[in-house]
Amino acid sequence: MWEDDEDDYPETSMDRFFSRVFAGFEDPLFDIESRSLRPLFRVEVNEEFVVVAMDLPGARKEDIAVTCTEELVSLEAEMKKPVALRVSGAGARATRFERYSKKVRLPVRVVPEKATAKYKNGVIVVKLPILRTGKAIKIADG
Amino acid sequence: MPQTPPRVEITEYGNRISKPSVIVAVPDVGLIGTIACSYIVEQLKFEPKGHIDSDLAPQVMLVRDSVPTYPIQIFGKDKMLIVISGVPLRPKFSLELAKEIARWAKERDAKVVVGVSGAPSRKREESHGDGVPTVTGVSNDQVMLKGLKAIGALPLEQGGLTGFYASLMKYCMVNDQANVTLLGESMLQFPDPGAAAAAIGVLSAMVGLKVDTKPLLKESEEVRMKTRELMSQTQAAQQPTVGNPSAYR
Repeated sequence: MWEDDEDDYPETSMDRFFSRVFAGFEDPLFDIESRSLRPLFRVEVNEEFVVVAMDLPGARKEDIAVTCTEELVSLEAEMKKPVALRVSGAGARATRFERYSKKVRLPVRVVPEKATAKYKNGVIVVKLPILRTGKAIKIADG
Repeated sequence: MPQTPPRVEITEYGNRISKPSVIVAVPDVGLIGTIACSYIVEQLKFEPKGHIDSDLAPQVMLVRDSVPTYPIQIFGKDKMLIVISGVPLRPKFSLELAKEIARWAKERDAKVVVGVSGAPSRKREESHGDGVPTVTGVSNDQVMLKGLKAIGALPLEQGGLTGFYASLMKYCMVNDQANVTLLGESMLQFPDPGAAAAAIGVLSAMVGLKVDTKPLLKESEEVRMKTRELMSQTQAAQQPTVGNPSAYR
């Protein structure tokens, strides 16, 4: 749909550095139509919280929006400046991406009203208290 | 009927470096080794010195400037050889590759084999990658182990190696080949150029490199963006495969 001119993104030494070893694999971590990257993420469940961490290099805190329900965390973040990445699905041309977008389905239900998030150095960590339901079962003598 | 061992073939070209220090990097925790070693190769203009191929290797050829390239390459300069895999390794190939690199290093009378990897650190993630990461080291050579502190690494007292680097250490021990494995304190599942820079610092002191890591740190965000796919593939390659147990294959 959008044809970026390769001259808009001249090759840098970092491009050569990566191209030497990491050629442009087909990248499922992106959506060309919306110009968005899907960030790397990690989900961990401990006794009290579900912790969701996402890698958002190039995003500013004020440009990040995180929302959650009991079962889903959604993130949208604009980048400070668009980044040009070579993705093989676009004919190995540099494609410009402008934002991150991700939805993470949670392994257990959480309390969205008590969620907290911290962002620094391009990493966001969201902590979501686990929703405790159920009633105690009284144990009678056998 | 005995099975033929899988073929892993190391091909060298050009003039051979004698008694090299062999540095080895495969995609692993934080992509520390691959980021660090690719950066060194680019900054110090190491030359292509060979490649490694195997029937067990992923069916991938990398293309650069329209030239197909093996995914596991060897670069050299002065008294150093750097082996870099640009693709993640499945466990079976990882084991055979480690075995062959250890054998080859011994045959080449290598001074040392240095594995560069990461140690996943919850503390590093909780600090959002702030601060200078610690580099720990493991060695099967007592003299090199004692020398770790002098080069900025802490000897690992308790813990373990896993995966490719564990096999590399094991087969270096089997072949009586000196091995040092460096582990940069790393983000749990994200590329970590900061940890790679710390590992470069220790590696430089060990083998006598002069590498400026400021550009790497300055371009850290760009490095993280451009290595996302490799990180994702590395995590996928390290997951157990679904299917029949290996005894039935």
